[in-house]
Amino acid sequence: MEGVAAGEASAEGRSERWKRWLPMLLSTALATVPLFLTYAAARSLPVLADGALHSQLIEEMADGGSLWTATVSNYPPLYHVFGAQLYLLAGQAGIQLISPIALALASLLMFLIVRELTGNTILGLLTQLLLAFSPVLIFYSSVALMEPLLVATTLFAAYALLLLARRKSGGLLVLAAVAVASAALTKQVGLVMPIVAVAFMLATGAGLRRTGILAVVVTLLVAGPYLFLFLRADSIASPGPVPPTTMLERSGGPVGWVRYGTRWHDVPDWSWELDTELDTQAVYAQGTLTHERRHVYWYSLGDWSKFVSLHTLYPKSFFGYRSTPRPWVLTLLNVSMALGLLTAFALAVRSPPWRVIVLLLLISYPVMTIGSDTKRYFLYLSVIAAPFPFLPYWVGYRWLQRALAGRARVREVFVTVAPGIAAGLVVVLLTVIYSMGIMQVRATDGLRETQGGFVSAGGNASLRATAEWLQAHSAPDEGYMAASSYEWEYYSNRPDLWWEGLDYRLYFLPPERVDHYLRAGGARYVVIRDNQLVSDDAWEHIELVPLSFQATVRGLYPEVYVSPYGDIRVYEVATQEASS
Amino acid sequence: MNATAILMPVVLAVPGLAWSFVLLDRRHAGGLERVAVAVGLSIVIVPLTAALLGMSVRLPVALFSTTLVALALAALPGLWLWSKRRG
Repeated sequence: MEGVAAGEASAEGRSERWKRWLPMLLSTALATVPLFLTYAAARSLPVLADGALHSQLIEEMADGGSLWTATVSNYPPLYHVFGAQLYLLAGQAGIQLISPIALALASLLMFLIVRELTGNTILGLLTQLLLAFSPVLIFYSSVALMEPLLVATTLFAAYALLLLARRKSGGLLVLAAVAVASAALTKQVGLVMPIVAVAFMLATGAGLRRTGILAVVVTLLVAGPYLFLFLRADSIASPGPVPPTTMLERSGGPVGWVRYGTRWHDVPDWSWELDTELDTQAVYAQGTLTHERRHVYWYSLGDWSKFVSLHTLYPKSFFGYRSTPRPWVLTLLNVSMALGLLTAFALAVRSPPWRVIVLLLLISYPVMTIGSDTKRYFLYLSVIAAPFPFLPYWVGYRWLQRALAGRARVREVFVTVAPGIAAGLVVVLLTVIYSMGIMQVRATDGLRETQGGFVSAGGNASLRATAEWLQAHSAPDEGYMAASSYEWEYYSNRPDLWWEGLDYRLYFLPPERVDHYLRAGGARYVVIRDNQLVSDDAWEHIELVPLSFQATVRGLYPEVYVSPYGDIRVYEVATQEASS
Repeated sequence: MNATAILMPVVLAVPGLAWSFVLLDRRHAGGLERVAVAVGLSIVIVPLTAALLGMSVRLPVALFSTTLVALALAALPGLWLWSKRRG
């Protein structure tokens, strides 16, 4: 008898060990899936779009050994320093590893958060499964963008806050502070996390003292890097005009300049002239406001309507409501969101099922504050979307289990069948997201697209060939005018004078004035890509070029280079002898 | 390649792992939780410390300094725990 009992006990022990170890093994395996898939995709793609800027900053930082890079960064330094450290360790592969590592961590954290909230390991694994195989996440994580790391640091902050709310220890308070600071330091939009953290702590009864300690520690950690950014950055965004009030204050006249940090005496005369010649605000409003709305400008922090429009939902079609939302609508949305968030926090303290909603709101807040038309910000959405399908399943499962309490046989069948239903749900969802993902984000699109997401015949290959030509046919200090500067500068190793003021303001000027400014600005070439050309009426994007501008340039200058696919043309403004 | 294989975990996991023994309660922390906190903390504290030292005392962004920062960050909680254990 004793032997049988010992055997049973041993079998039970084995079963318990499996119960403990199996989820760990599965979760670890699921965390490595996006690591390999994303890294494989990253290795097969060239440096693309905004990834060109980040790669350039990282390489300059690592090669130069200093935070003071020649290319000025308008972002907090955490991402680039982390990238530089990986670059020093593994070369180019190191830069390509940033997002895969971040995604693997995000996947693991998603499992832990959902398990912590629901107490259900299967639910955590299913959520992790959806996140790990998300085509959107895999595709965008294959490009060196800041978003995957921000997703990971935001989840890290959410998890640390959750642990703190549950266990309330001094160590966890420090962990939460560091995690919240990490989200704030990854990208400017992460600055909402300290506010969310304070609201979360107050709503979950952490008390004023602990909340105050967290706020102080986060402020101390964040202050230095942001001060560095503030003192060093020449702008916190791409070109845009200085608002009229600032213009009047600083210059006494209707003069705008695209580089806010530039000292006024450094602004060349021709640029002052350009700003007085045309209504910069009107051109900017016509061509870039919708797209550039997502960017955060320093001046917008003091302009309430701009601030509101920058930081809230900006749906092109919100439940069929088709018009530009007015500031008061956006304000209302913002306030409702904040109130909803706080109410959900308060409910979470008493009612466990609400905790999933708290988590969703916590993570979705950065999503909602962006309000962007940019596809890659859907990364944030995919994170909150992952646990969403399982919420009804989880609530329904618990409810039915309780309802069937008196019917043991039926309940037994239900408990056996339910995981099968959940697995079926996962298969269906994975099929749907994959078929949608394949339609929407194919890796080959990345090769055909150039910055701004515009597809062309030659894509990145054409851009590289043209950039090589530019490098071979110009001196290191000779610049050119081309829209979508990051990729051009990264591949050509020559200054793109778009950043120096030869920008969209030239587009609608008469030919003699275009020629005057291009020569005054020192441009040797003008580069125009077919995939950027639009009719003048349709020009609504900072990276597009109106057809009339192409006609002007064609009439003024000889065409000196055409890319192998015939989709990029280079016009020579001045020969080297003439320009010197 | 060998140096990379050795230094990767030193930068990406060891400092966070060391701090996790200070910040997380041993009774509650499971293996996965510790792994997540170790990696999460490491990818924050190593670059952040390097950035703060770079801004203040111009510590160069280099392999040597990165390794040094990572090892120092890993040693601090180790020393603290050691001194605590000795009473």
